[in-house]
Amino acid sequence: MKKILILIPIILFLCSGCYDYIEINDIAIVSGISIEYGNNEYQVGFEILNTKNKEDSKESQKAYFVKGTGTNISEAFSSASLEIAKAPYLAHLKTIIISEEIAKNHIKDIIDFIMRDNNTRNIFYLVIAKNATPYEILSNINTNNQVASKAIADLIENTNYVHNISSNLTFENFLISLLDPYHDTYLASITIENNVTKLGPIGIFNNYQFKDYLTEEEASIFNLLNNSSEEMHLKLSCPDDSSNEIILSTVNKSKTKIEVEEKEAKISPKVEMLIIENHCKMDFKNEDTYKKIEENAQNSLKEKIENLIYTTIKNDSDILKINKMYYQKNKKNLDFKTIKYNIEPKVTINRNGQIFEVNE
Amino acid sequence: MTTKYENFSINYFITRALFLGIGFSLILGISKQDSIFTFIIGTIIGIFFIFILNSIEKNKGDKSLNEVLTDMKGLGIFLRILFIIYSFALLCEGFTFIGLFASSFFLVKSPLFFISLPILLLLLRLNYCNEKITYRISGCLFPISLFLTLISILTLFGYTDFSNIKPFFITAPASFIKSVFYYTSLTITPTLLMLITKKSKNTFSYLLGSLTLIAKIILILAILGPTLAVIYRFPEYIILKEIKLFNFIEKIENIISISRLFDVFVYLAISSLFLKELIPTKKKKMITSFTLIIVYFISFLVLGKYYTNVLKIYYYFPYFGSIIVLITLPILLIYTKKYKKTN
Repeated sequence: MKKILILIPIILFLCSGCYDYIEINDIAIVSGISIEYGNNEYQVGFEILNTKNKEDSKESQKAYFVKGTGTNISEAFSSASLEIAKAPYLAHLKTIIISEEIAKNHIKDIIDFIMRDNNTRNIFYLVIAKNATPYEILSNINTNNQVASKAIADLIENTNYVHNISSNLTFENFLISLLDPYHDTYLASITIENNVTKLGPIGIFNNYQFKDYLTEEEASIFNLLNNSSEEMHLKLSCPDDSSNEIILSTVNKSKTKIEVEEKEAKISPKVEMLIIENHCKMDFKNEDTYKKIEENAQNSLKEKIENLIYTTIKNDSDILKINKMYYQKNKKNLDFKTIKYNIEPKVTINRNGQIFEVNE
Repeated sequence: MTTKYENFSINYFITRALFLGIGFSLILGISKQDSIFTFIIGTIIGIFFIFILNSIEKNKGDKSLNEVLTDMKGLGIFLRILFIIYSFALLCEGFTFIGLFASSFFLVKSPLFFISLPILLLLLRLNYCNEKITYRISGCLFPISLFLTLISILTLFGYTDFSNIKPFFITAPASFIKSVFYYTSLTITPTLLMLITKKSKNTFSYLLGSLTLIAKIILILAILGPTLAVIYRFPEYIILKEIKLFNFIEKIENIISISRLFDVFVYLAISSLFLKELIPTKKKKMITSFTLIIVYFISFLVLGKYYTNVLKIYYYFPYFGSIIVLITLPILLIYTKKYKKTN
């Protein structure tokens, strides 16, 4: 009994892991980070969740911001932490916003630093700031959007259902594709328009270097080919009247098959579409009408895919994983820029909404 | 005397023990996506050694390892010295890597000295108890470990992308053979500890342990992909960070990874029992306690404190283990066969 009585205090004091104990009020829960580079310095901004009770704090803001600079990333992080006198805690990180300069020349340094941290979980989003500095985007809050990093994460997570111009690649998936030597990667971008934070187009990379942005149309087609598109709109001229338009939308996720041979890649997306808006004066009870629209849609889709491929070749960015597919099949290297692309889209209109057509 | 269930649980734990911090990362670094085949072929080769171990267990009957080694006279002394070095090395490895694992993820600021102290205190306590207590603890921990392993495998399955893994068979034959050797060595080396049990049959427990390891390597490769998996020090823990139950329960990796700590705890407890069995004096409890304290200080002051020394264990432990296995198992097999014939 005596032994146990001696052992209990020893165990309580020495073995309870108290060294790592931190009060929640002493932790700065970082929800968003902005990183930019200029004048040979890294500039880091933290969006920190306010853990104080509303009664204790006069401010009702859900988050507050701090900034720091340094010649390397760890120095900039430490400098930002000095302002808060708390330990930054990255386990609940939602978004990291980086500048185009970081994406172009310092992406390797950033991922090395983030991956070494033992608290980070790679399920947050890394995005590029377009037409604004990362800190401006991170600190752009309003009554509807009190935690910018959370709002950006929500925008990205719902991108497939709305405009479909962005990508919802988590940091881990970004790392997987960045580190893979057989294809290139891409990132979502964020921009500010009229003081509102909005999703920007997809930024594409060549190895570790950011090259350019896809246009909205290219991004939408890229998501279609990537089988990640939930809803894509296709605007077509009417088959017998080019001054009017008909608008189709995808019904289900597209099914795109890409087959890569030594000199040719065959891209055959299968898309099921629904008529959502009609300005054509055609007989929608007639089978031929649908056939004509389908043919138009196929031609339009083919042209858009060709444009996307041209952009990827121009930027030497194999985001469609052509090289990877060839390597997986043949264990040989291929240059996706030199092969011929055979594009065969198959569009099926399987719904026309609740009506045939509205007659004037 | 241990029950069949307890034997099963002990071998299950010790088969997996060296894969905390060494196995996955070392093998992935060599054979990347072909590690899946490394694990499968390594298991098949490992079964061959398990059959030898089972045969030794059957031949020695109710005799303890200590009695067998005493009967072997000169050769027995040689084997006893080898086994003492072996158990000493296993204890050093266990304490060092459990400290490294805990200090990398949970107890970042805690002094290294205190991290494994609770385990040392438990081992010292167990050392003065009847050995049955250790076996029973292993038996109790087994269903919990199996449950946590199953939870992690089932929940992680939703995060897999098997297109990450292809193409297979890209590793050079020499590297592939090396990685198979590492796997076999890392799973078989600790199973020598089963020599302290009597009449144990280790095939199914080894297969179950290996099966969980194969499932884990498939998950690591399918979630992280080979290029990302090779750069992590503890890929087996990193994938657990993905788990999100019902879309709101997060950060449960610490709870699930307890199963890996059970592996190392049972492995350390059995290693200390093994050491106690080999000490041929009446003061074996005291000597074992003293050795455990020395091992603890070595693993903290010499090994764990300097990463260069940790790396030496990481790279050379499979070679050390395989030398011990290849020397001791054949000698024991031949001797116990002769002993069985003469009796």
